[in-house]
Amino acid sequence: MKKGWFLSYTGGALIGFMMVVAILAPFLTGYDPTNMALQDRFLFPSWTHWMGTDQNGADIFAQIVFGARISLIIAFSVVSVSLILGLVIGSLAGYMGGWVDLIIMRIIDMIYAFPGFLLVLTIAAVMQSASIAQVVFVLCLTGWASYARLIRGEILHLKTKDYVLSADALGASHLRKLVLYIWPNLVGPVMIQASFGMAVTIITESSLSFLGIGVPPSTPTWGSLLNSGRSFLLEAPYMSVFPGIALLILVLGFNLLGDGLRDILDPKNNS
Amino acid sequence: MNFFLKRLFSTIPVVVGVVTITFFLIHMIPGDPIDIMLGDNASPIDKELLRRELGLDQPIATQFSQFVIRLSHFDLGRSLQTHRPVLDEIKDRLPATLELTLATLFFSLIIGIPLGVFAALKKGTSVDNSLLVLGMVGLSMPAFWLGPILIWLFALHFDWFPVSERGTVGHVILPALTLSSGIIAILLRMTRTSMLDVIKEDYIRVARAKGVHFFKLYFFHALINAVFPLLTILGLVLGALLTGTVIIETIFDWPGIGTLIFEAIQQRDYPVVQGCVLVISLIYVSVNFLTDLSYKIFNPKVSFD
Repeated sequence: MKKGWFLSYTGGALIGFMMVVAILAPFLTGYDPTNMALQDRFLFPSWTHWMGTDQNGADIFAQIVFGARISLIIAFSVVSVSLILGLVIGSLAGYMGGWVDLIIMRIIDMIYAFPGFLLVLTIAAVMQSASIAQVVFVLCLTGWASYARLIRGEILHLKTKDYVLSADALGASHLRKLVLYIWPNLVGPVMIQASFGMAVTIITESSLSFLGIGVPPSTPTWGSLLNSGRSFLLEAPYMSVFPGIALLILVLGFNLLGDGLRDILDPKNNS
Repeated sequence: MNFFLKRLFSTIPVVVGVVTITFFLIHMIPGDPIDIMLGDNASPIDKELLRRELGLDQPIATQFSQFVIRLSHFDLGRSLQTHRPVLDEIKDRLPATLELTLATLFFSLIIGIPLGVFAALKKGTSVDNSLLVLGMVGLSMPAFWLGPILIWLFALHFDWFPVSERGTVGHVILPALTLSSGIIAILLRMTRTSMLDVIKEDYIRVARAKGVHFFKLYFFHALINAVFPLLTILGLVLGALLTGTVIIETIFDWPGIGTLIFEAIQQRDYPVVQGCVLVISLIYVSVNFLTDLSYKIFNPKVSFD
């Protein structure tokens, strides 16, 4: 089996596993992730509590499987919204060229001028976001730029291709040229970018929760679990170990998938 | 020179954009920022004083021009908490962040590049593959997980290093290692790819035929040519560093600019937040500018058009 396929399948399997966990969450555990049972604080992992309990006596396994939902929902929403925005804006810039391109590219340059997470962190803090939708909004605010830049670059190159020019000569409308002749060629690069985008978004969202700025504290997320685990490293190291492993599996899955897709779809780039 | 000027001019709108966006960040606060900054129990007089001090009673255009004028005198306003100039607060914290950043770069380079060379020399073997897998894991591992795990293992369990704060060389090792995990992974892959290109070249074959010692051949002749493309990712690495410091410094109680901005966010000390974002972004923009320049100087064939 070629390396690219192997990487994609491994990544896909890791992602698939986490998605199944997220979907089946209520069937995998009998515990409510937000349920507090103070008599059961800091229980070491055992048959009754597979991954132990936290400082409130809530089951950590339950928090992790329900946390998988939050991570995946946020990441999918952010990546799809950013991708659609990026597709529209990037197509406008690449296809129209001229001053439209100039303005859009300057805006993208500005977003890139900030170290990514710093801008997201500050906006989230300033908005005092308290809902999943707001976190998604903040992440999309800067997230579209990378897709727009990629798509613009590809379109600049694609629009000079003979088949696009011949469609133009036959009188195809702009929209027809874009949708039928240009966009289908973007699927590969966009899929690669989106896969890495998922990995980055998952880490960014968890970082926000870890700093206590993201999703509301009552929602079980991997980031907030890691944050509370940090205060109890001596009493309950398992509180920090397990959510990190879950995060690692999911992020690794998307990184492997992205790498594999790049190997398959872009034979020139054999790194 | 022409290139230098062109690149400098293209940086200007970016800097203008950074300044504008940072200015408007504070105006994105929903509701009355004064209420949020002082809380509900503040007296109306205090509120009015703060409003005047921050210039929030002026029209927005006036506020912006004053912001820019003050900025040209390096005046970033005063902290709402300590009442000290924001620039002084940042100056106090910058050395700690610099120390952490340099230590991280040091670890990343001495670990990442040799591993990359090693992987390239062993291309296709199980050594190469396991290094690639390791790199992939390093890249996917969130720093806010690795940090606590390292603390637990090496500070609490084995007691080799201090748990947190700044001080001796021992203090910097764990945070720097945590921060470097992702960068090591990037460097490993880049060095490997780049080495694989270089060792195919004729001059390497000639050197080998001449009987140049293995070590000198790969770590001197080849590596010098291979590290060159690594310059391009310096900006990327720096972005990861500046971003990472907020989290790493929080975990390790490191008194740098990362904890400054995080504390300021928690205390709603917006002038400090604004100042930090501005300073960090301007550092970032200048380093990216210098990266492009150095790349051009070392490799005159490169064109950025």
